[in-house]
Amino acid sequence: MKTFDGKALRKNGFLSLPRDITLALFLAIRAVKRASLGTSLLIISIQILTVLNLLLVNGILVGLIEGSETTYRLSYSGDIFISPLITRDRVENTEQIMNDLRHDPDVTSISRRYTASGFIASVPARSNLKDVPNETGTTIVGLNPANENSVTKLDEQIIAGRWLEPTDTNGIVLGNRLLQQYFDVPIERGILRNVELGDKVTVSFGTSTREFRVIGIVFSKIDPVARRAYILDRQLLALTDKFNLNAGEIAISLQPGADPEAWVNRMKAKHYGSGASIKTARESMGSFFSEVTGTFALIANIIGGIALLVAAVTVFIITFINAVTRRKFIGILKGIGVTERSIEIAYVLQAVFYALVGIGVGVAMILVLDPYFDKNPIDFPFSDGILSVTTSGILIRSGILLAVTFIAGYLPARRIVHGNTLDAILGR
Amino acid sequence: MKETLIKVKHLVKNYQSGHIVTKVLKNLTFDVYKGEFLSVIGPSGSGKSTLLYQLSLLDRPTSGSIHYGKLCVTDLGSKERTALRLNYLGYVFQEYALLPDLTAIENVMVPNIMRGFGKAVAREMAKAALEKLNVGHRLDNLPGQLSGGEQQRVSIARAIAHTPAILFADEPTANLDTVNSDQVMDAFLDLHYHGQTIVMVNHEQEYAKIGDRIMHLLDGSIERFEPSHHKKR
Ligand SMILES: Nc1ncnc2c1ncn2[C@@H]1O[C@H](COP(=O)(O)OP(=O)(O)O)[C@@H](O)[C@H]1O
Ligand SMILES: [Mg+2]
Repeated sequence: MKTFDGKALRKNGFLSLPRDITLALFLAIRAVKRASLGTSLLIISIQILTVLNLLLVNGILVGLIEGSETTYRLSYSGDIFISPLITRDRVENTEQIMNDLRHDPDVTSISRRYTASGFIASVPARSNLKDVPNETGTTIVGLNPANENSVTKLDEQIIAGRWLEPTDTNGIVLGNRLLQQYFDVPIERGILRNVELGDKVTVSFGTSTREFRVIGIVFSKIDPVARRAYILDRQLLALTDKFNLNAGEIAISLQPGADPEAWVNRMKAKHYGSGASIKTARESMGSFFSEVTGTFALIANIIGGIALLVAAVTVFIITFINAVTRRKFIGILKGIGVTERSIEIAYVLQAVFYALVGIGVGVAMILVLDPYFDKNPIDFPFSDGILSVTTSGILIRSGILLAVTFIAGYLPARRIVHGNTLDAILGR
Repeated sequence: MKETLIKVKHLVKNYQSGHIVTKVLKNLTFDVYKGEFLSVIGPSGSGKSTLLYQLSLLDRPTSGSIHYGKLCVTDLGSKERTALRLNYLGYVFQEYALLPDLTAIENVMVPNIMRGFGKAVAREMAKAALEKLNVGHRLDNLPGQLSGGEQQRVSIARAIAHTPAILFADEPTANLDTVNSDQVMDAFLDLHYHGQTIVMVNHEQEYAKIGDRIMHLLDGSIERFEPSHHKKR
């Protein structure tokens, strides 16, 4: 015969969490199994949309930056970019640096470029004194085509004519942003109008001027490439400071797998840092990109925050309705001795289950989209956007969604479950 | 000598809404003995359900005390009361009160799992209880697929699966037709025959004659006790 014993009651494990969880699992599994398909699909869809919102928006915005970094590296800086110190316009000790680079096992190719400021004008620059002169000031780059092609892919970005060849004396390749026809908005000043492939242009450096023929137009979404003109290195030297062989910039490719940052640190340790600026592609992109990245991350976080809020409210409402319509049965459960905590856990488990399914499907979709975007980048004005997703990004965002779901499921469940048992049973 | 299982002293229950106080239970003092079948009858509104809620720890009295053996249950916190209900009491509600998402056997398993039995044991216990109540052939049906009598018998199985010290029932046949009612009453009588202490509220005079002792409740007071004339089977 059972005897009533308060002490035994207190001791005898009725506060046992494992027991509460076991029963909660029992109830939650059956509730999910026997839930209406429509409701389940609705909840799961919202969770999927939230996951996509959290990962996709962020991934596209960050991917846009990553896309422009890739463009920057493949069409301008190489893995490593050596440029003059701010106070100079040439890379000091270029010969010594070049010598070291040629013997560096990590370096696969080098493009030594000369740069000079100059004016490019159509021929004639104006037919009438009242006209706006048809000319633009820009950086003229002198390069060795063979070396350049081994570091960058500029030759693949030609949209008219062809890329420079070693024999192209008096040939010039123009960046698309020097030419009016490549702008959507009409710009009058500081740009070449009606200059086409095959046309003659004059290039002036200070006092020396030379006529060139436009042999190609290179297209890029980034200014350092699109706002430049390209000629052969020996010709640039001849027209400018022919006795100074220090480079304007040096772009370097490293072996695949080599760590650019470690490499830069090694180079700096050799004191070249004192005569030149040695940076990885990312560093040399400078503050513009890091600021844009910051802005985009903020935007992505705001959008993601709204998505989380929507998901939280949805889970809250669904759990609330679910619990309110079952208030009587919650009362009966409590009436027959089921703990409040166990019932609350059952509701939270249901919400978390739907969130896990949503996360699973959402993440699977992202993992399918990621390689797709790699092959088919999004055409943004200043970059070819890819999808930037990292394992840690997926884990963190999924974790946040789970935590939000947990709370959004727990609060309404607790509100209903905590009510008076008898009132719940009698529907008062 | 009869062993006292529940001792009720000066039990008062008032409901207050605004300034209006409704006195529902007016100073009740009585005992419930171990192994007896106590019927509580009275007209509608006389306070039968309210009395049962106090006895079964679903509600707290305004004043007075209830002892289970030597344990004063009116002083206990809500967690202890939940644990008492789980481990010592069984309750059969007027409506069948089964969880609609759970099959018959799952409904009976729920309190067993809460009591800490593993799922397999809980299932065996539930199956035994359902068989005892002649619904062993309906284990895997959802409540909606059962007749009223079957549902109520599942509900009784859930209440007795752990052989509770006391089984409470509040008009368990109120929603049933005669055939189903008789089945359910037979089930209670059978449990009583095997020693189960039962406190049952009944509206209908017919079933009130069932039981060892009949408490007549009138307007919140005990009018009288009456020994039953029905024979134990
Ligand atoms: N929550 C409540 N508030 C106010 N009065 C109540 C409440 N619950 C029950 N009553 C009143 O108490 C009396 C007894 O109710 P109840 O115990 O349900 O009677 P019975 O079960 O005998 O029909 C009734 O007059 C009823 O109106
Ligand atoms: Mg009643």
